[in-house]
Amino acid sequence: MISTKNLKKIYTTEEVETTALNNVNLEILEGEFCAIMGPSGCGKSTLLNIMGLLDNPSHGEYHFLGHEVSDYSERDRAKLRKGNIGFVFQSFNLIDELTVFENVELPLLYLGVSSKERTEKVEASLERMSMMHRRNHFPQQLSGGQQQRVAIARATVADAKLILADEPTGNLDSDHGDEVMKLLAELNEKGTTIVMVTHSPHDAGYARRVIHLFDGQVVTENMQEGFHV
Amino acid sequence: MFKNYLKIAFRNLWKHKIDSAISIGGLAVGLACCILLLFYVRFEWTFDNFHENEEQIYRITDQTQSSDPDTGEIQIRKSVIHPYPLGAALESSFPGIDQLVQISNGQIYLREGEEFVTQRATFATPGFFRMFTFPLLYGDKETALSDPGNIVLTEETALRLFGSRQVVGETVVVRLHQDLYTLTVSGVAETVPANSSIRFEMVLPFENFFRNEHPDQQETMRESWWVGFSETWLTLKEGTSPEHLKAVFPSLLTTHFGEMAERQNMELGLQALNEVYFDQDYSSAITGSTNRLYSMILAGIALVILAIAGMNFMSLSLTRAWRRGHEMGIRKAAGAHARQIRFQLLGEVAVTCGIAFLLGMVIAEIANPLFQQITGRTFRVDVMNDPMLWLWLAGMVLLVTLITGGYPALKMSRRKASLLFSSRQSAARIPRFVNGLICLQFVLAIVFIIVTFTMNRQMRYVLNKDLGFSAEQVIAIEVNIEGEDASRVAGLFSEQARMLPDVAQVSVIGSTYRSFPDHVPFQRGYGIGMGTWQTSTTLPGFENGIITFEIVDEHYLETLGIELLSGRNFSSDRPGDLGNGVLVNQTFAEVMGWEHPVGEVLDDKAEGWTPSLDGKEVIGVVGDFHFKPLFEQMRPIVLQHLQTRDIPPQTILVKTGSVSLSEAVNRLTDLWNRIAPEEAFNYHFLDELVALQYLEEQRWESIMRFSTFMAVALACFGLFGLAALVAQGRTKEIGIRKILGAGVAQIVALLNKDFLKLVFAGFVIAIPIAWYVMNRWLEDFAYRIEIGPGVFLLAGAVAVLIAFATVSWQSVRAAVADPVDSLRTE
Repeated sequence: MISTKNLKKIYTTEEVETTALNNVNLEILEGEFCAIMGPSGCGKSTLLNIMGLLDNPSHGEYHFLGHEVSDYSERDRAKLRKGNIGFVFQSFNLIDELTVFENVELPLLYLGVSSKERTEKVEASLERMSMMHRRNHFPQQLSGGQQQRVAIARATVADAKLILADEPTGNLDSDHGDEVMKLLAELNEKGTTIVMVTHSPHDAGYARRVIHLFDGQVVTENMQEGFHV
Repeated sequence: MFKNYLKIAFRNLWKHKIDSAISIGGLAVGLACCILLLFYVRFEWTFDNFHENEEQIYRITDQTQSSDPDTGEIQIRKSVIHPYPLGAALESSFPGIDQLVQISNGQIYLREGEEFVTQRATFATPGFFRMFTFPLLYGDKETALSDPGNIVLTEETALRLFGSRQVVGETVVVRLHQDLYTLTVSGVAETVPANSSIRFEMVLPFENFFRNEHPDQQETMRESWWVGFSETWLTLKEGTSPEHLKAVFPSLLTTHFGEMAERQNMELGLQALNEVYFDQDYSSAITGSTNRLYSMILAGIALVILAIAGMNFMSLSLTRAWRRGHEMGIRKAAGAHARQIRFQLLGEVAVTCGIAFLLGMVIAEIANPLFQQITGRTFRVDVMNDPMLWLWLAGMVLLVTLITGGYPALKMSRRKASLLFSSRQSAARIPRFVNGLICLQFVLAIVFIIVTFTMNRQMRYVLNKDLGFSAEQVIAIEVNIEGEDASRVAGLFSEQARMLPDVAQVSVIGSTYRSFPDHVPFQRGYGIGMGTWQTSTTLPGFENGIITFEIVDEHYLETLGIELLSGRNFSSDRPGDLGNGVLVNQTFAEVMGWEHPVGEVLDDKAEGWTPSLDGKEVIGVVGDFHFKPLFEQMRPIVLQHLQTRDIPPQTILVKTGSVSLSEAVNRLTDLWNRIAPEEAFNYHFLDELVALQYLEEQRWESIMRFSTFMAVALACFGLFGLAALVAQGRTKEIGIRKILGAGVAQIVALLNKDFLKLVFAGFVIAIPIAWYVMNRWLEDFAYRIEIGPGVFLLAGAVAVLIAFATVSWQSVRAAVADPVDSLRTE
């Protein structure tokens, strides 16, 4: 599903040039659950941006679902992203002005799905996340765990093949964090590919494979046998 | 999708109530000002367009040239007043004329109850209501003016006189010269539209104009080519061009004026009706005119105010959009295209803008009476039922949306969604473009402040300047009586008035001191009636060969506090002086080049005629006094005694003592009613008449004051909103600074600094602009203030102070907030 070859990302400001990613070579197969770990500033978020088609690499190749996308325009990336990739963020990133239902509905709106089908899909997704009873609430009225569940509902509502999660439990207590991780694991079991950035070895335990980044480079890749289920 | 946008737009507006109120309210208020100002401008630009054949109506104009024998300078005189026989001569010499109407204005006496009151009357030949579209509510426009015994009233006049509109067949009694006539109402005209340059209260057949003159003069006025008093208006037959008519003018002039036509380079011309209102080359007692520049300036002000409001709106939208980078990132991550982001942001601006426009229209409708009071003009404003306005507004909504929403939409849609994963949030600085807008707003606001201050200073200067006479506590009473009776009443009244306890002095004079007919304030330099008499002279040094004189009595100098510099005043002890002596002002003596004017005899000889001042002896010199408005330089004037000329007294000036003016007026009214019970007691306060000379300027001053207030208020409004956004955006920074030991004053200074820099930059840019504009305005005044640095500094200080107060309101709030809270929210 994802394959990168000598992927490089360099940020340039007036005075400094920072290499965020340096010759990253990765292969992530469909249906995998992969965790990316590493200290702050090692390039995890940059890698996630590129994988999520939110940014282009400076050099190297990036193949996503068989397309070489490293020099795709913003418009083409947006087209490919739609419906294929879902995002889950540490700070949930729900739109405060929209209700739970409307937040989840958003990707379907941009996909041009009909109103009836939208309602069905959003309700099903909220049902899956046990958030139906909160459908008319605004994000501020929910707990952190609930907000993250809504965010996952949003990420999956359009049947995304890939979910990119950036520290999904970073703002949650351990109970809520576990709840969220279990949801992700369930999704993975049903076939969704998941790439998750995390600091937490506990969370990383849910993944089949853990990739360690350091100074923009992949230092180790471990297949885990005894991951949590 | 659209519903989603709308929903989020409204929720956003509601969530940021204060911001929304500021941007919507500001734009609405700015728009309301703009709508009203544009209505006013449209009103001015549509003058006279209601006449059905507006494009075919012309007025005859003329022009003569003479050259000053001393300087050789060519002087051109333009006029629309012509001798009566011109009408008949034109009709007989040019068959292409379709209709021809002669019009004149004058004053008649109308019996109302027991008294005769003065009444402004229009005299016109029978075609008046056919040529001009002044529809008659009652009566027949074809015949309304054909019988000299008829009169046409406007509906207001009919209501005033009879309490009803349908008054055809009723009669009114008028006194023309000294005879009474009973006229039958033959028509009632609809109210004259506000945008008509021709205004009238009643129209009398032209014959009545002659009846109103001295019987000895009537024949001359009917037949002479040398006395001008009427305007000639005409329409041309189809297929006849004005050029055809102009071609016969030279021969017509030669036939009737002989070699004089050539010597004075006489020319006749045609002025189209739709040019009348903006053509200030000609002064007319029938039509008003105004400077086209004024309405253009007003349109400019309207756009500036809208621009300021628009800039507010734009800077607030932009800054807010900046804050919403996060939301836009989420949308992008959820699959939104850049185009969809742009569409959403533009849509939100359109909604906000639409609300502001609707609100603006309501405000305009409500504020209309106040606005008309400020502008001093009455015109129809019907915001709700004006399709043109709606169309124009829809266009404006689109334009404002594109301008104010376009930039943020473009910027935001290009922002990278990848920032979402970054722990760094975007900085809370104001976008540079918005800084430019704030600065520009303050440039405009400060220019307005300087303009208002300068206008105010000039008006105070003009109104308080030592005029060489004292207008305070002086009551000018009209003597609207013809012939010998006038002298009797004036003599008796002044004698008895002088005995009243609170009267200091009384003077009887031979010119009219009264307020202007409605339209004259449009015309500069008319003055209050002092020195309205003029006579031709051959003496060198006098403009156009004309000397201004005033007919006074021996109490004039004392009543008006005019200084006698040398020689003697008129006195009944020296009857010779009354007939042959004159007083002159200093400027007169200077023009004549006299060192010792007293005793000089005016040697004013001409070939074929005798100038009226020839042989008069100068008995005294008085100090210069401004008998004309301060637009004009001091001019020479001659004072002659009432007994010299066959001119009846027209005004009595009463200088009162220390008692209240109203009390004095009451006593004078009683006295008048005893002496002349049949005549109405009409009076004015002289200082008010003096101030009236600058009515137009005062009107402009109040328009500018209003505009300045709006401009400054709107600019501050925007600043207030922005300061709040900035303070909110810098909460974390403020918290950290406070934890590190910053005090409230330091935080306030930190937040205010950026804004004040912009205001200061605006001030620097505003100075040359305001200086140029105000110098152009002041050029009109012969007596004017100089614009010193004081006014600029004051305006700058005012702007900075207001801006400081506005921004500090927000800064102080941010600075006193608990840093623990602010850091926790981050």
